[in-house]
Amino acid sequence: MPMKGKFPLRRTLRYLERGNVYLRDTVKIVTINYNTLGETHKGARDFVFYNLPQLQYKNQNVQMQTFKNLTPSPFIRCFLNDGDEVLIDIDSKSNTSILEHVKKLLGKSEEILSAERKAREKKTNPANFGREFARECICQVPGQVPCPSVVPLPEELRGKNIDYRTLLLKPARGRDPNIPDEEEEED
Amino acid sequence: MASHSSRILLGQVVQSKLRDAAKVQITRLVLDEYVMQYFPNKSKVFSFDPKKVTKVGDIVLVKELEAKRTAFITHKIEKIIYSVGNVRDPITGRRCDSKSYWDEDERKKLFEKEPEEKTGLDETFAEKRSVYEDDRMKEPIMSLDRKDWKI
Repeated sequence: MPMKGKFPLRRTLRYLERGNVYLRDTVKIVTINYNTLGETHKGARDFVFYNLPQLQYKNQNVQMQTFKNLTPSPFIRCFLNDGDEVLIDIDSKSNTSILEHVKKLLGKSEEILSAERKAREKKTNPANFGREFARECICQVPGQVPCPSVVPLPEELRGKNIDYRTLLLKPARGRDPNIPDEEEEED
Repeated sequence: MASHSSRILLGQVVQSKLRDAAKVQITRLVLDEYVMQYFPNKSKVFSFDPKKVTKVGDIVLVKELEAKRTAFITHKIEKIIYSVGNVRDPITGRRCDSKSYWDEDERKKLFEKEPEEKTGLDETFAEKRSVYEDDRMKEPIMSLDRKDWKI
């Protein structure tokens, strides 16, 4: 199927994944006001056409809305969690500079992003067990010893049945049998 | 991260027959996986507006209530952002249309009475008392006499 329409490249997954502006968690709503005619609004129109899909793709939980032909000057108005508002004047700006401005103001910095990436890796690492990870205990893995709260352990593995006296007299498991024991003088 | 009660949404007020609530239409962009384009998807929300401050067509900020008022009324009107026909530019604070800012003196000569401006930040929206102390909750939501029903 041929790619139809104006600049069909923006309808590819690769283009959407190229977006690099991750908005902060406090930002809930992003609204863009612009006019359909007027040279001063051209940057805003380009921003909505080229960059808004990328922005929405990377921030799925943010509501993004556009308003056309309401006011004579274009602006971006963001609503944050606690009722705060952020107003960005985008009059006579190019779409790249608008995007940079949004990234500087409301975007997550590299440090935060890399910390989040590390946290995600920690979660996906199957070697980790615990409440915040995928599996709480190794007893959940089939083939391992089942949870003693469900299936009682055999008698010899229970702490109360271990004969510590004989256990201490036995040689340690890691000892090499070829090396002779030091003869201890028995009283 | 965000607490449950801080969920805010932006929408346009749409006609409804409810006595003390406004029906708000919220549009969100949804990706069509085949065409790979974002399309607006509408959803409706009933938000508490007892004093009828909003008109049909207003752009409104809506906030989720901590406790639902009724089975349907789950949100409340937080703030009117753009009142229909009476838009105020947030940058300059002046009333305007898409072409120019309005001259207030000229408008006073032309129009005797301008529509009342309600931003929704007055006391009518403040939930001073908790839901259970509200006088309205003591009386039944719907009167039991058939003649009082307005359908």
